[in-house]
Amino acid sequence: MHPLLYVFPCSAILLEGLLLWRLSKHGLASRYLHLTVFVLYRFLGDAILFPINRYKPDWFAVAYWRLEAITLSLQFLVNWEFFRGAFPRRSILHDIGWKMLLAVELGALPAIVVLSWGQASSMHYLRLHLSPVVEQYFCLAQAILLLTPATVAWYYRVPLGRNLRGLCLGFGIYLLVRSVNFAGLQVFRGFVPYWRLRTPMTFIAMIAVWLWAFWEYAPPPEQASLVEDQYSQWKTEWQHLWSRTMALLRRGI
Amino acid sequence: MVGIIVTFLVSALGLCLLFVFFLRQDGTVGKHPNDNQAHVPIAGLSAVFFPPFDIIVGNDDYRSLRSRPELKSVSEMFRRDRRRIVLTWLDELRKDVHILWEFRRFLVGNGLLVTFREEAGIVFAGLLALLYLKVVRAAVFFFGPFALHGTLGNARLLVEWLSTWGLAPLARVPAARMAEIEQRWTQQLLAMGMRTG
Repeated sequence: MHPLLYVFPCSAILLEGLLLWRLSKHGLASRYLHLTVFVLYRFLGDAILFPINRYKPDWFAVAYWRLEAITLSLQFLVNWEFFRGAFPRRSILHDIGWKMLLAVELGALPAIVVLSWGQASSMHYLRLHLSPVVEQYFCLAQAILLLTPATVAWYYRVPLGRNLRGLCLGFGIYLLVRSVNFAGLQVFRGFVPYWRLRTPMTFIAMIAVWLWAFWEYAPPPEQASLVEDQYSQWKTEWQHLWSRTMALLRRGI
Repeated sequence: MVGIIVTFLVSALGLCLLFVFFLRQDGTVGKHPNDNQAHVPIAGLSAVFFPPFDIIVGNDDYRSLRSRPELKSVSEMFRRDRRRIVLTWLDELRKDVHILWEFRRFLVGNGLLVTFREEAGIVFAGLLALLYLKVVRAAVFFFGPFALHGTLGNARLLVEWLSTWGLAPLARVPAARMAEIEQRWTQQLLAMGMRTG
């Protein structure tokens, strides 16, 4: 690999590490648990590729694409994180968002399956590990899964807060551009060198947007109030338990 | 190939949507709402119950004028003025539909109990009404204000029906919350730059 190409994995690991550090502040990791799991997985996955590339270069392609396949599945965690952040408690908006999601997916998923079924990939070297058609349509389906609740939130003017807005923007752009990248790869023969640059660059851009979004804790107001309610409830329960324990101890003494 | 074209189209649309969502400011209430505003109509219906419908679209005066050849220029001027009035009225109807729609979104956003089917119906009916009003506007512009008496009546009925249907769930709002909802709606109208009172 050309030494300049190491810039991408190094930047990705650096940004992922920074993001994990920010998520560990202010209890963000527990509040955005699904996102944290995804970022942690990517961080470990990217880190492990360095020794593989150094000591077992023959394994690199297989390891890379297997990790990518797992990443594709774990991206659903980010989808779920956005949905539960935008509609945190059972309400009429939550129900409408959920039913809208079901309605769109019931229409979109069969269409995606039909389209992907008839589309043959021309990229053999990729196909040995993971078909670009799968990548293209997986990303498209996940983008639709993200855009549906975002549209419902926009329609009803649900305030999202900086955290969720950044999450949605970064992840949405990443999924859509990635989907276009893999689609373009099959149409334009001379696209491969650009594709090799654009795919990691899109990922790095997403992590950079997330880093901006999660630099501080700025949740949607509804989620913030829910968390406050939970904390005050835990506090009350804890105080009750503490006073009972002290009373029992005093009685024992 | 169809799949690839669909991917490109969905991606372009999705990217546009993402930027629209991102550029939207969180929260719709203005920072300094004027609390001294007069009492606000709950949804600003202005044009449906505007002046008597037959006065706007009736053609008796126009026919009388046209029957006299010496008043031909006056009748033409009358026709142009009437067309302008009808177009303005249709534009007001369109604004009413927008405000009704906005009010409905506001109510649901504030926790009004509705079903998914009702919401889907309102969105569909709102889009249909806006499309219908656009077509009628174009028709009035090209064929004049007197050629479409029935169509204009239907436009008014459509908006009336939409307002009745759209505002029906308001009856489910508890009386205790009504004042709060009115106040917040006033603030939202002000934030949207609309005239209240």
